[in-house]
Amino acid sequence: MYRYDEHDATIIRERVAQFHDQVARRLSGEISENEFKPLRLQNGLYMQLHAYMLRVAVPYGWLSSAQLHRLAHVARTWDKGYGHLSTRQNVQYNWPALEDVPKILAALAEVEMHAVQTSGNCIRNTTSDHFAGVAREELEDPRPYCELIRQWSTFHPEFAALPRKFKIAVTGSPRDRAAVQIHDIGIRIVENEAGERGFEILVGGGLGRTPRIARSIRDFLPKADLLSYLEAILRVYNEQGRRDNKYKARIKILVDALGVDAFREAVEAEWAEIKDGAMKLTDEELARVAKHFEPPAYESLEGGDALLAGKKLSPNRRFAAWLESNVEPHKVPGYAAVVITVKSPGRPPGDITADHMDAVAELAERFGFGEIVITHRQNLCIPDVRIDQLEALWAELDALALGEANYFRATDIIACPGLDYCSLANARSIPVAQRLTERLHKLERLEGVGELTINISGCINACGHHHVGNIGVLGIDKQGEEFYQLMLGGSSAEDASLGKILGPAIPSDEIVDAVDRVLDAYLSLRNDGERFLDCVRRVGTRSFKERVYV
Amino acid sequence: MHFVVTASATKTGQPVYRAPADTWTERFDAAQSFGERALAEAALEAARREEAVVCDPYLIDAAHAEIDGEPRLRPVALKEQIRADGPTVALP
Repeated sequence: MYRYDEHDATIIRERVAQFHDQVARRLSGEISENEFKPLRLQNGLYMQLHAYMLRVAVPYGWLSSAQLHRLAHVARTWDKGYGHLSTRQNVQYNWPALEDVPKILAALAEVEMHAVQTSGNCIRNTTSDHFAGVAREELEDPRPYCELIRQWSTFHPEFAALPRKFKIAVTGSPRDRAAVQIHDIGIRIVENEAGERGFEILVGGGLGRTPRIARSIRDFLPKADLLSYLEAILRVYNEQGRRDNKYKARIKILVDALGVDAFREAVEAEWAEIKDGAMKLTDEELARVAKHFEPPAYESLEGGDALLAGKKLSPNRRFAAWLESNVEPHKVPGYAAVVITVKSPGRPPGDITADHMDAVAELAERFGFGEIVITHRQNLCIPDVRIDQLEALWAELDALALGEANYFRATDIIACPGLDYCSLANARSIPVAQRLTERLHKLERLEGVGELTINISGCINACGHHHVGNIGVLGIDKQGEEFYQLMLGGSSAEDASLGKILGPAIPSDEIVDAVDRVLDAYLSLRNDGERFLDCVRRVGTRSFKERVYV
Repeated sequence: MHFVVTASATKTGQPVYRAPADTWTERFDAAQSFGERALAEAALEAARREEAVVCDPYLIDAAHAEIDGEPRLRPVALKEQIRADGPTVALP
């Protein structure tokens, strides 16, 4: 994984010192909250319902075991013993005291971490596929390009005050686990007819009040031009994006307003001016960054797929189900990638205790190469585990209550913090997720339903990505009461689509029954082997609506 | 309807409420309530001058509700009830 050079280390060290001073001035009353707010936001520090919230950047979700141990230490020392995994592969702390935040940032800087650009109207942490570098169907590891984007966008002076926040995601696989089509810029590594590798560039995706699936503006961009092309897009957005209305300020609104063809023309015109300048990526520069992502020292193993298939026949049904749902084929024979879902009854989705962070870090050292990835669905992944050690790993996870077999199943719920923590929310998300998990938890139910995503947001800002859940749940406030709107048919994968509203909003105490009826409807409507999403697309939402609104 | 001045404590971000004698309390039931909006606005104005101690003070609606057989002042909005009581879900 990428290691800081002296330049990285220096700017982060200096930033910690600056923020230490800014916090001291705020606490002494020398500067007001109005003056302090933009400074704290530049360091990932929000004010939420009960306390400050600190969002720590995890570039493309990738962590060393030492970093995960440090995150556990932060949770234990300066928070309430846990952290929250976000859909953008970051870690959030819900309870830090202001005077402790500089200490937290100093502790993180020691392990090459920070909270820079995790908030505010700037380019945020670039996200990616949690199976990057190991997915069998992957064309090329996207992490070197994510890292190049990180270096280009960090403290980029021209893009420090954009019209609105800006999010970029990169995938190197045709299977999209990075949700690139709901990002301001989505990047796919592709191959052209000549067999050259480059990028397809998509723009204008996003959720919130105006959900949009990103549109492609370039089928093929040579690798050398990645940063200059991104610069051109950002310049067009920075110049023409609206600043008069924050709800109309994202790039998707600009793409809508101009039309995708006119937007493309503006980008291409800007790019023509800068494409052969200093941002051209040389082979040496690409190699310099790629060197940080060279594969670990895999052993030569035999019998990989057959061994995995055999293990799925295990008489231990819970282990077999976990292999089926949480273990992904690996590009290196004899290895597999393992998703550790932190979703089980009673647990807020994405929350993980310091003890569990330490335990997973230790397991990654023993069973992997000491690397852990935070996934878009708010879980953890150990990307390199020997297939012949999967059962031993699962036994240890199970003993920690982390062996749940539910990755991409109905209880692997994405949920925003909702009204329990968030100052923007209109309704609670976590209790709905917990009640749903409780209801759907039985192995038979999960196995019967199969692949299915449920995403819950507590308001229209859509941090829980409800538009792209196969089942989306949106909390709304109806005259002081919590109601929930159901949507069906959303997807953030390569077949991205926005869910359709099923009908009138449903009272809080009826929403779990309503989702249960959606699943019953699916089980009666589906063809053999048909996924929930495919069933909804085939039969339409009307058949579901008739069964839900009885 | 009653009104209460609330804010977030600068040190911790924790919800605090304006209390008698121009002090702040973390307990909603120890907050000073105002039966008239004009008086509440005046208290809010005074609170705004204490920005070293608190962030972004504002007024919330409160009303009496019967809790354990006793009439007690409670925030009206669910968001403010959760702010006053803490998350409705157990911490991990």
